[in-house]
Amino acid sequence: MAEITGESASAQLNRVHLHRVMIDTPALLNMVKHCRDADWRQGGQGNLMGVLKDDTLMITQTMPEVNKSQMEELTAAMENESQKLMDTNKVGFYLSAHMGLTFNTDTLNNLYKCYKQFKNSVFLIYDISKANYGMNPLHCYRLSGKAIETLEKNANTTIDKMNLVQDKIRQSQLTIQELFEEVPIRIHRSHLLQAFLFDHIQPHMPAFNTNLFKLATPQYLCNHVYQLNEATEELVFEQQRLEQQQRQMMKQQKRIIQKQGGVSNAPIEDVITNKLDLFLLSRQVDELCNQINDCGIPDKEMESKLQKA
Amino acid sequence: MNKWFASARDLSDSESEDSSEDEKKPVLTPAQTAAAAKKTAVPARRNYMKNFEESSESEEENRVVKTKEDKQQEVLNTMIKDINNHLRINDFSQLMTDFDKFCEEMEKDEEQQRGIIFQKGKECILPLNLLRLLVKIENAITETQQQVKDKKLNLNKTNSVQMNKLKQKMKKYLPVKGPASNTLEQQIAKFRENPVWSEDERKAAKAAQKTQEEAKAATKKEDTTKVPAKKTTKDSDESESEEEEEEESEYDEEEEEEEASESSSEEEGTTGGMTLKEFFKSIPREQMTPAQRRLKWVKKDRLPQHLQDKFGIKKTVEKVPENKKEPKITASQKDKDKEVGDKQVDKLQNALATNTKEAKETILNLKTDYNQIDFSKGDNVVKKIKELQDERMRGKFDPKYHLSVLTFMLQQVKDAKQKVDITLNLLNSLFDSAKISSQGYMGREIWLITFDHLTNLIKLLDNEQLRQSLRNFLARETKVAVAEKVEDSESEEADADEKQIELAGSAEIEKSIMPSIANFMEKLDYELLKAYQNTPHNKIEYLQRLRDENKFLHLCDQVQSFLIELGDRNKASRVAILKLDHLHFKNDSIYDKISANQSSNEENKPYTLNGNSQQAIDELVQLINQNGTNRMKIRAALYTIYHHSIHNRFHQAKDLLLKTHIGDIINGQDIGTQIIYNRAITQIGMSAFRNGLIEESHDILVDICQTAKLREVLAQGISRSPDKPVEFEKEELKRQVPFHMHINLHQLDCIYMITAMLLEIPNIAENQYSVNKKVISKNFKKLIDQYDAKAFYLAAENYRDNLVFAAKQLNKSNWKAAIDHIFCIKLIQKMPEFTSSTSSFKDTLVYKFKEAALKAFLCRGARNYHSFGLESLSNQFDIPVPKLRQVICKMVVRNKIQAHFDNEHKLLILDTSSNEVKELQQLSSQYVDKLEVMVENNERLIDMIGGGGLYNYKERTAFEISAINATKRQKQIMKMTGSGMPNVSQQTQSIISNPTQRQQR
Repeated sequence: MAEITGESASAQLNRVHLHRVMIDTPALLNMVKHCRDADWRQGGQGNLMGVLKDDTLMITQTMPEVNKSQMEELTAAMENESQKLMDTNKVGFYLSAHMGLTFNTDTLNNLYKCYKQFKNSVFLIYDISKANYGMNPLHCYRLSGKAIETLEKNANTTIDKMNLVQDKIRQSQLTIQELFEEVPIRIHRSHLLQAFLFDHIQPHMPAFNTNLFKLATPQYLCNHVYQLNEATEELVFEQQRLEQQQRQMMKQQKRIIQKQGGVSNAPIEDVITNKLDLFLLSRQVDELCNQINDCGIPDKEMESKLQKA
Repeated sequence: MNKWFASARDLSDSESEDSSEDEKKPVLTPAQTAAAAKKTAVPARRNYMKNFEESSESEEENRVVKTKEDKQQEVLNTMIKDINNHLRINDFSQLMTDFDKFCEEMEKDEEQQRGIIFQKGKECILPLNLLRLLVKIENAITETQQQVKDKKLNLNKTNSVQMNKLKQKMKKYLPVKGPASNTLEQQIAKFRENPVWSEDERKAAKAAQKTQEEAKAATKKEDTTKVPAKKTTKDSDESESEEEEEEESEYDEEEEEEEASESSSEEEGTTGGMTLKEFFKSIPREQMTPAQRRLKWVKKDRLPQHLQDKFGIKKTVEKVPENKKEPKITASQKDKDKEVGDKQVDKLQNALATNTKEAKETILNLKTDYNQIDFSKGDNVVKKIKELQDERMRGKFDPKYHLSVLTFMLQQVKDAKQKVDITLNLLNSLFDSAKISSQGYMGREIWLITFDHLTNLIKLLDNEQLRQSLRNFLARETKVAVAEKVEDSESEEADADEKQIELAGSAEIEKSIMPSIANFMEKLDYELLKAYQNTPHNKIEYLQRLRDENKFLHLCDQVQSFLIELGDRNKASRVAILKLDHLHFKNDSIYDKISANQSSNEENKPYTLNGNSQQAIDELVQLINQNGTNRMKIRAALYTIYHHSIHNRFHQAKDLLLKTHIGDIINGQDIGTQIIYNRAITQIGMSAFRNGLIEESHDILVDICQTAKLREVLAQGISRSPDKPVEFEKEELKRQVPFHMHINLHQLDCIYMITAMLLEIPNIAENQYSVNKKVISKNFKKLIDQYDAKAFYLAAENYRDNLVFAAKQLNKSNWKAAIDHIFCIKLIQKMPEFTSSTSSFKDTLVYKFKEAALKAFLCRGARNYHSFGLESLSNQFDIPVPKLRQVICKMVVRNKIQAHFDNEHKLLILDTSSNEVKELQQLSSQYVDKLEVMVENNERLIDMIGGGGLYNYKERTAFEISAINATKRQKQIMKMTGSGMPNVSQQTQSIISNPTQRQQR
């Protein structure tokens, strides 16, 4: 479907600054359907296929994730088709989520795997609970350059587990906000498709039905705060774990210093502990806070105070 | 040469050697004597085979053929020669190596049983020539040392060092070598008693040789007993060959002839009932060692001391001290004493034999002559005591011997003061013996003996004279102490010291009595405790020892009154705390039962306190509070609390605990005290339950019951985990509380669970719809979860089943079924309060269940009903309306339900309010709490990394903690009063709005 120019072919290999992600309507609908039909708990997950054109990632097709051999068969079949109607190169994955609870190790692992295959990989989130409340359910993220740098540095040491270590973090000056970068999405639809879409709008898809737009209810807020509570608690645990490790390490270092007899004033810092969880949890908390801000009433008084400070 | 001939020649050679053997070569190879050859057929054959091989070689090479034995013999001979040579030139460094070689050879010999040094059948008895060698070495060492001391001789450094080393080595080696009954040391000692020097005395040597041969014959029969005092009849030994018997009879005839001539010249040796000759004859020859046999030829005035004593040879010397200053004691009385003493010793030894792993016969046999010493003389006693004390101090303590001597002495001595002294020593020895006994604690027999001695000691001290001297001593001591205080200057210290030394010199016994008695009581108690810890509680021995406790308590009374009478209240309080330790856990009902079943057993009178334990304990505590140390005071207070608690005086116990502020300082106390504290707390909690104070009980017990180490905390058992060090476990085992003092853990668990249930069930109902369910008792939740995980519910089997079923019923507000389940639990049924008609325990418990069921019902119903009729509620829960109102009002006040009464229609009308808004608020406030924690954590982490300069966390904490506490309290109050949810707390707001503020602080 999409033209592949020589330039963009080379861009397949290199990482470029993504201006936006364009998704075709059929692909989007396919994805939405899959996400909505999927089991509530497990959620849906699938592959994004498309092509990179200059600074735009075109997603032309989505496919639910099936097991590996079947997937290979499918792609082979598609490639063998005479007309080559579809793109078969994987550019990322999509998944369904509730209340933006997506920033976890699994996602990161998947994304990193995709990144290795295709440097400009993204992941799309279709947030069901947001869609139910008329919020923007689609988000697209990809790994930031700094994150990739940091993760690549560690790639040699640990094979399975991803690892973020303090000195590496400092080297690349990675911050929690910068772990993932969001890419704007644009839904590409021709007039024909537009018409087709409006013909087939279903009442139970409120995201596309402006008539059914709901205001954020207390229940929605409650759920968010509840999730926020949970996430924060995890974060607190993680913090405590780090603290304990830090303490232990300080003790050890002190002992070593005492043994050597010298006194070193250098700040004792932990360089071994994996901070990946902390990053992800923080990001998750951040995301939840943002969502609450999205639907709640912003505290202007507080804002002004903060600005003053 | 023919191989057959070769071997035959070897044999004949060795035989000829044997026959021509003089005292220089007393060592025989096993293949040599015919008699021996019979026994050692196997090694002989082996030799034969060896000869076969070697001789075949020799045919070709024409070498000098030697048997292995010959070679070894040669090695030995050269070694002996070397040693002799080195001895002559005082070359100790060489001697050292020689001695090492010697030891090696001996070991080899013993291992391989080749019979070069130790002959077959008399293992470990060193031949005379080697024994002589050892003695020579010893002599050389002592002589040279003496010479060096007198500066007659100059040894170079290495040589003297080697000499000392050699001496040490011999000292170490000799007592170890050989069988326990006859070590080399003893052999040497025996040798020294009757030295036989080949060069010096030919005649004696001959005799020695003769005896040696006899010894050979005797030891072939492997009869190694050789106690001279034993006058057993000669028992015929079947293994004895007839040949030898004939030989012996020949010797006997010779001896008799000789003795006859001797005895005619020396007639004095006939005192003591029998002559020396008779004495020797009375003992079968086989039972004597060579050394003993040799005694026959020794002149009477050179006999060893104990034999001389026996036959009264030095009677004249002995008579003199006896006539000196001894109070007139008839011989018969003395004998009686001796007999009693022996009996006592026997008893003691029996007791010891059951305890000690291996009776150290060795030293005992050497010193067995103690009952020959006349202890009716003061000097002897003092000397012996000194000797024993020295030995004990130096670690040469042999319990059996020491105790026997002291017990024996005690019977002989008549002077009260000396008796006291001996008893003190004896008690010390007894306690020391317990320390080194195999069990690690005192057996019951020894404990009783110790107890008897201690009782006797108190009786002895009843003597007015002794008491007076004690009083004088104490008075003087206090004077010195006061004087020291008054002077209070360093210059006078020396003077005071002198005074004290003077004091100590003048009254050694008096000085030691007072602390000793208290010490002994503590030790006796400790031994009893150890015995309790080490005896399985289901054994009859445990019960026996429990009865001993009564004895101990009676003794405590005596000692305490004795100490108080003498005015030493400090020591008395020490005894008092022991007594308290044994009394605090006993309920009055026990005393009642004991007095009801009291048998007329005078010997072991139960200690009843006349059923009024409170008064007795108060008196003890008063004594301790006046005179005890801090630790004792704390313990006394805790014991009192414990005692109050088991008598259901909850408020008194609680007030005392709060009044004394023990909780504030308990962390600084030793572990033992902490355990007592834990136990006391537990008892308070249980008494609260028995008084129907469910919430209090739960609050108190929750800390104890939620610890994973409940057993350790109460010292009622240990849990084993692989990563726990062994020392840790040993320490824990030492702290264990005896079984009869145990708090029933099941009952404790049951009580705790019931209290938790009564609080948790309404709580569950109340928080049915809330997101964050607050759990009151984790243990209870765990219990329920465990049962929920089960596939089937069977009928209740144990108390936990019943608890779960009760909880389930209560959750459905079916209080009747719930209480039925609870009353099925035997642990509850068996409580005295449950059955007693005076206690309201049962009613209270039922009411508590009704109340809990009502609360759960109302909380659940609040969502589904608009109103409840008070009448119907009253009927359903069997609570009268006024009480019902009371409960409901409380719930309304605590914001558990929103409701009001309609007095006209006797209705409870529920006010519905939007729960959703509440939920958000609740969640928000929760989130704020979490944020606080998070921010705090973050800061602490940053602070830690930054070295504490960033936020000055530590300086801030105290202030912050108070602020946090304040907000928490505020929240609590708001929650209780139901005035809505609190806003974001002041503190958090300030943190968010002004992060620099904290630095300014």
